[in-house]
Amino acid sequence: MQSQVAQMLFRLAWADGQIKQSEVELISELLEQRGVGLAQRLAWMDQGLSAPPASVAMDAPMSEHDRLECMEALVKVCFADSHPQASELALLGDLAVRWGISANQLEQLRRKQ
Amino acid sequence: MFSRVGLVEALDLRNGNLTLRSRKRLTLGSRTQVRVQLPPGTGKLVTVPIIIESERPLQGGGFLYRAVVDTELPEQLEFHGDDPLLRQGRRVDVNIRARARELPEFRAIVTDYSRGGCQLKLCGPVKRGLRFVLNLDLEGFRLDTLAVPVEVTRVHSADHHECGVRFIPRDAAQERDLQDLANFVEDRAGSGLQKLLNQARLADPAPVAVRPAPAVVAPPVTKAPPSNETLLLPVKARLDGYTRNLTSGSLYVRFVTADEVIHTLEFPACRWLEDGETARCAEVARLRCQTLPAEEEERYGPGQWRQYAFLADEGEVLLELISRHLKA
Repeated sequence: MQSQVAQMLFRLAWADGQIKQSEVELISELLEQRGVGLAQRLAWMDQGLSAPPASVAMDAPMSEHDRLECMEALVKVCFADSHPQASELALLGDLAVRWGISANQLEQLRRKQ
Repeated sequence: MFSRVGLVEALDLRNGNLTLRSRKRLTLGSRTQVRVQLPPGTGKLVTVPIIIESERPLQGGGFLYRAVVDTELPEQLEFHGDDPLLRQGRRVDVNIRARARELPEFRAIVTDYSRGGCQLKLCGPVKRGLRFVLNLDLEGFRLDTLAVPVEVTRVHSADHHECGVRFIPRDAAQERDLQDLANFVEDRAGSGLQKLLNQARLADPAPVAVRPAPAVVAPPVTKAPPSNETLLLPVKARLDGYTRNLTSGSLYVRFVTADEVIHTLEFPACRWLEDGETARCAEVARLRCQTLPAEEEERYGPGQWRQYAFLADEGEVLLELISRHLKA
């Protein structure tokens, strides 16, 4: 589950073709909050942020709670620098549709930022 | 319904966006509170903090305002109003590609859409009164394209070329298509993030096809990152020591975090190591990671090699090494 969330965060960060330092900091913080230890965090980030991922499983996390929690993390990364890129938003929208998250729920998540 | 700011009437509330009518003028961009009956006709008065986003004066006095609700409201309070005011003259910012033989470079971008016409951003000048068929490239709407006759009613060419056109629908069916399109863009514009998401799709100058829903998505369409792109990963831990396995060549680096937990990183096939300042300072703030250029394969062996540097807060290099991708 944590690995899946991490992969999605990396995928979203790569959506605009570059990794910004603000995204690196935020992803590290989010993984730490989710209980991912320092060594695991560094290993995942070194792999996931050094090159665009070849492919990432985007299956919906199991429970609705997990889905919303994961989407909240993704929204944070998307709005990390307050200027979300169209490609990041398009990916976020795709995931929301795929995971059955309504525009209203998405909007509420954004306002939490 | 009464509020601090005067008499207001809720006309529509969806996705956290409130449309209201007020006799008194409100300040654009301001945050205020209103008392509204939600949903209308229930007699339940709710005090709602809002931010005023747009204003339109109404014939016969009063103003129509669109505002963002600055709190979380239960979904059951939302309602779709049917007041004719909601449908009149509303202009919506869009970014839709359009084509026509008569336009400079045969193309334009629709920047603003209303029920009667639209605004075009052009690559050159056009003349007022020009009539032509405008082809709109639509995405997400039930039609992929819409070819509608238009007439140029207004031109502007100070620092860039723009014109306003009015729609001249061919028949009742096309009139309905235009109305549907207006509903579509208005509806999408009426929801904060949804607006951004849809603008990202509608507006992408080189839009990608709508993806099906596979379990695995393709890699992002990106420029290849430079091979020596540098990553700075936050660490915030104390370096406790390192050991090397002479058989595998792996270097193991141990850290202690503020909660006194020990973490070990493995740097497989470590080829080079330089201990800079660890004796003087062991507090690591960041780990700098960089892929070595492909030419280095001749020196270190085939495959990708990474250069890592543990940095102190001020950026001093404490420990530097070259190895394969690190492992937990």
